[in-house]
Amino acid sequence: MAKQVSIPVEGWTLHGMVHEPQPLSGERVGVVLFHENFNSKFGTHRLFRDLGDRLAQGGFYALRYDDRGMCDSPGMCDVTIADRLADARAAVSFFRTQYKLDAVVGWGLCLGSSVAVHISATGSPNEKLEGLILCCLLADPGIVSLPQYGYERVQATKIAQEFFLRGNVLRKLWNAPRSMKSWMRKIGVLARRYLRPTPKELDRMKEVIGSVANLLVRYDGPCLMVFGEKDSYLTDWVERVNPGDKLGLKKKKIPPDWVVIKGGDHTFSSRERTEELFRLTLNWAGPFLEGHLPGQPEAARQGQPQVPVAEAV
Amino acid sequence: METFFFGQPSRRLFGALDGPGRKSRAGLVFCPPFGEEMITTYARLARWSKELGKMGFAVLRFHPFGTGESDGTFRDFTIEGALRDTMTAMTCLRERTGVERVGFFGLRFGAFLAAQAALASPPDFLILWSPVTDTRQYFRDLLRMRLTAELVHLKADRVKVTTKSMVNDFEAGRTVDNLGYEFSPALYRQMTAGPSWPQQPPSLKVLWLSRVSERTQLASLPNDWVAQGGNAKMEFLPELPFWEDFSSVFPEKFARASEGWLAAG
Repeated sequence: MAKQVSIPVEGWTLHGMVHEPQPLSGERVGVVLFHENFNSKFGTHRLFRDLGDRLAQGGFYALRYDDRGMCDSPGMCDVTIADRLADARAAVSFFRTQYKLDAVVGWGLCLGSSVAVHISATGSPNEKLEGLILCCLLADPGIVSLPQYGYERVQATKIAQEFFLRGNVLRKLWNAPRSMKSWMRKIGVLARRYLRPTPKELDRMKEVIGSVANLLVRYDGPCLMVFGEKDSYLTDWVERVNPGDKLGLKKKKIPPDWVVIKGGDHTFSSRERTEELFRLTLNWAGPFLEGHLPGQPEAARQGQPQVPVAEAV
Repeated sequence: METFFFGQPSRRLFGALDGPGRKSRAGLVFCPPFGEEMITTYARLARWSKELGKMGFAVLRFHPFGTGESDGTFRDFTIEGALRDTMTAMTCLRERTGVERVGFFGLRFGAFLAAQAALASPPDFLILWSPVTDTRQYFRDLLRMRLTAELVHLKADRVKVTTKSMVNDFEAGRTVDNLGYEFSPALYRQMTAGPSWPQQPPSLKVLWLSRVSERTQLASLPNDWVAQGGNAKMEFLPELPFWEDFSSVFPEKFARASEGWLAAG
């Protein structure tokens, strides 16, 4: 059963829920769950809430929270990426000190995993993350958008490609005069969107997301990366962020463990995939409870070759 | 704002109360939409609840049993149970704030719940946003969403599940996993053969807001309510189907129309 907590940060209060281990065993290890962009602390199909329960059953403390002024946190705030990072730091620090934790692991989904990577780079000991579990990591600034600013990027090249390479161009041109009104409306909307200046916050967000890969290279702790097989973020990671392991993650002293969940989508939305994700999380983080770091991934322990980071698909 | 658990120890519900408490002008129980729509709209409805709180209304947002922060698992979720929870939430709001004028607000399936709860215990007013008026059709659409998701991810000939096979599972007493939500046979029965949309307005004062594109779908339902007297106001507004995706794009038109109606008393 989760307990409510209040986490102070920069004059705001974050509403959080803490799952306490039953029974407590070994080291006091906490897992902070960082949710996606506009989600709540219980998550899509209650993923975070269920994971919190499972972690507690497995001997871990787990913390979930809402960002400042969002959902069940008091007040109203148009949360910026800087706010998100400050909230995450406050949550980790609060969790570690209030619950006297020996180690804190960051578990994130999508933007939440990007936030976890940023927190891992922090200098303060209270805000440090001893381990990272990154699900469907958002590390490609090219796919960042901000609907909260009414921003939908219009790429002229993509529109031209759509027009000239898909369907019968001659027929499109032939029909154009007859559907002039519709065309003018479309062109007007596209032109307005194209000419609209990029919001500063979007630039800041792209910058933060764009630095995730390098921060991950510099992170010297253990890390588990999980993607859903059907998630487009997997393709983004493999083809755009880290093609051919250009980041050199495999050469790191502790290379990230890597798992692709078969049939999984961006939020692992089926009981089977969710169970698989929970099992992976608990197995991987288990060694923390015994006071040491996660070692080889499960595949390697079973005598199978480890799935190479850049060649998983 | 205050967050707390309420209800029976065996059926603990989570609630978030906005507003000035005992000095409130009126009270509102927010009935959340169903499944993923509850998640996609959560931040936005919380924001509107906080805005109403600032305007002097006491608003209780609650999570039905088996959803959100409340106890239970999703397979415990049924219409009957959610209706009981809605009534429990109304009692809780009255006890905590002492407000005399109270109403229900609901979006989509939440509006269906609000209308049903209002039938059982008529409130002073009722606000409905794009209500689901046919749960049978709605439930079928939910099952089809799973099929669509599988079709997107798999080739058509590799999709094993069909709407019929899911219905067969329900009929055989098995739960069905629908994109991470475990639907129970009881939920299936109540969605397909449970309470129907009220023929008469279940409250003296009703505000019914729907999207312009829903006009044909709803046929004469809203007009029937208006024709049956009371004070049922209905409007079709050019609002976005904001429950369909995650963003913070706020339903300004629905929210402002509702605030104006509430302010007019």
